[in-house]
Amino acid sequence: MKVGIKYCGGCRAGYDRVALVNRLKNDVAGAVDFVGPDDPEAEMVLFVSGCKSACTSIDQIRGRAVRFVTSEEDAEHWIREVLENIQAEIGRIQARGR
Amino acid sequence: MGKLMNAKEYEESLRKLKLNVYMFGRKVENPVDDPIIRPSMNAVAATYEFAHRPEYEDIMTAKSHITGKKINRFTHIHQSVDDLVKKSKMGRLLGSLTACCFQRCVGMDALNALSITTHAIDAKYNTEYYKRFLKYLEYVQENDLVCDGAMTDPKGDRSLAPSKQFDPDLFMHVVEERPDGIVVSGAKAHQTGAVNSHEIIVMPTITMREEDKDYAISFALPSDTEGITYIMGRQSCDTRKLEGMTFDRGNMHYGGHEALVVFDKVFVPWERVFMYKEYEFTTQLVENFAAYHRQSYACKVGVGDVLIGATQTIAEFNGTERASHVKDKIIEMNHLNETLFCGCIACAAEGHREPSGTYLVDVLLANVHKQNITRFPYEIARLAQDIAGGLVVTCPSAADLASPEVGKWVEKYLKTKPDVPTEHRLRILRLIENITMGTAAVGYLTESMHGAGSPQAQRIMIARLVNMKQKQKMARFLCGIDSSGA
Ligand SMILES: Cc1cc2nc3c(=O)[nH]c(=O)nc-3n(C[C@H](O)[C@H](O)[C@H](O)COP(=O)(O)OP(=O)(O)OC[C@H]3O[C@@H](n4cnc5c(N)ncnc54)[C@H](O)[C@@H]3O)c2cc1C
Repeated sequence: MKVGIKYCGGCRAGYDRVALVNRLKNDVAGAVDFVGPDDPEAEMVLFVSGCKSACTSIDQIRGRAVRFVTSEEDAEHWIREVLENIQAEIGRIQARGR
Repeated sequence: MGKLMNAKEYEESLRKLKLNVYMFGRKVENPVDDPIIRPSMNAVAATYEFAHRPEYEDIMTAKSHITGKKINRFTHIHQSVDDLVKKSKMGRLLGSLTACCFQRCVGMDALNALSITTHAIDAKYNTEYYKRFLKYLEYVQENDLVCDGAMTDPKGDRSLAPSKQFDPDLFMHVVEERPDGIVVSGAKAHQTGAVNSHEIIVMPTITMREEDKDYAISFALPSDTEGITYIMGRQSCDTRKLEGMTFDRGNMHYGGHEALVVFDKVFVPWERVFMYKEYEFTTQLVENFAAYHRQSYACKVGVGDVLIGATQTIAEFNGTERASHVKDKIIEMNHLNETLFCGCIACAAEGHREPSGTYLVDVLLANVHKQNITRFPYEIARLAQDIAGGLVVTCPSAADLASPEVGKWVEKYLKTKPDVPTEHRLRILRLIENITMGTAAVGYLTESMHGAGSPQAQRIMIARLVNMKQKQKMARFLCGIDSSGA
């Protein structure tokens, strides 16, 4: 799965956004390929915002799922969601194969 | 995408300029590599570098309304309230990344103010200033240029109008009109980032009346136009930068600069003239530029972020971080700093569209914001010095710490804890010194006081813009003087 990363500008980020994305890359390595937000192959764009105002415009993102991460906890939720979806997808493929 | 320069390309573009720069009484042949000027070039270069970083680009770039291309926000004309808010956020972001004046906001503010006024003059006189302006703007955007916003004249005797001064050059004025353009003389004082700029945009500094119409001029020129001379301003502790990369400079990467810029009979072609004797539009231009520029002091919030971080760090190094008064003082620093942030966000969020399509900040709130800026950084700096301790001004030099003779004594007696290297303690103290009384205090303190207009200029605007009648009406109704009010 390819996921586009779009950062907010980070004027008063409550956490280290770049460090968090590096951690995400580690945690979902093999399952998710992180690409630029404009990559046409990205199925989802993850908006990494430094605070809850999440001020980045999502206008340019069309036809793709959008998720927001505004804190470290959000990132945990997102990882869980992605891994569960991938598990479910694998399950479906295996069921079809049987 | 237009030409979104990176830091290296910006530096190379400066090398091509043939600027006539003087400092310490001597001509500076190579300003880019001059050790005094270099940190200020680094700070402007950062505005280019960060525009290319994914984690900052959402703030640092915008979409040009004339070409549709992605451009550096510093060359953008605000097209929405969101643009205005992003501008404030960009100020804080860059202030926190550089801890100094990054110099590029003043040109952006000049461009935005001119976009409104050139349009307004054309609407009245059927002139073609706006068309000229848009062509110029496209050139600036396409080449990703730095513009010096040059408003402040030397002004001579402050009690006299331009045409009444003993020397007519104390305000920039036209000295000759030619078929192909005009010739101007005068000077602009305190020009931020002048020597790091590709262009200089000149505007009148005060409201002009009919008798001063020769002074009611606005134009833009390449910074290396013949007849323009730059005389660098001194900053406190500036020559520490001649001592090599020692930590005594406080900020190891960045700085700012100002210069006195002299125009000695300089030719301006008509296509670069944006106002010519339409004196009745000077008030609008000055007030809108001032409002935008007062918003731009969002940068001080970012510098405040660094100063607060440095203060917390020295408290921890000194072992005072758990003392209740220290904690409370740091809360106060944050409270003041975030209050400043409220002001720059509020004036942007309450912005509106002008007839040219440009979005302008709420002028009253921009003035309130700047008025706070004239005060709070001083208090934040005072609290930082309180917590830092006297060593912030009595600390031996980096060379003493490195000395084979006395280094051991500096190391021994200035150490606070086994796990805190003495050098780290001295470094953070030097940074606090730099921001509160060294080279960066030019930007954090005195520029906060006078830049974009001295405090009284904001108070005059506040008095003019509040709706006093409405406040009185509500008071009179609620206490029963009047029977209607709500
Ligand atoms: C660090 C720094 C950077 C700057 N950058 C730029 C820049 O990039 N571009 C630019 O154009 N300008 C720039 N400025 C200039 C700034 O806008 C001026 O400093 C400001 O407008 C005040 O002008 P002044 O310094 O001449 O002080 P003055 O005008 O002399 O003011 C000094 C005091 O006198 C009072 N005063 C002045 N005139 C009168 C009067 N007629 N009646 C009553 N009281 C009066 C003022 O209220 C103030 O209290 C910068 C200034 C600084 C300090």
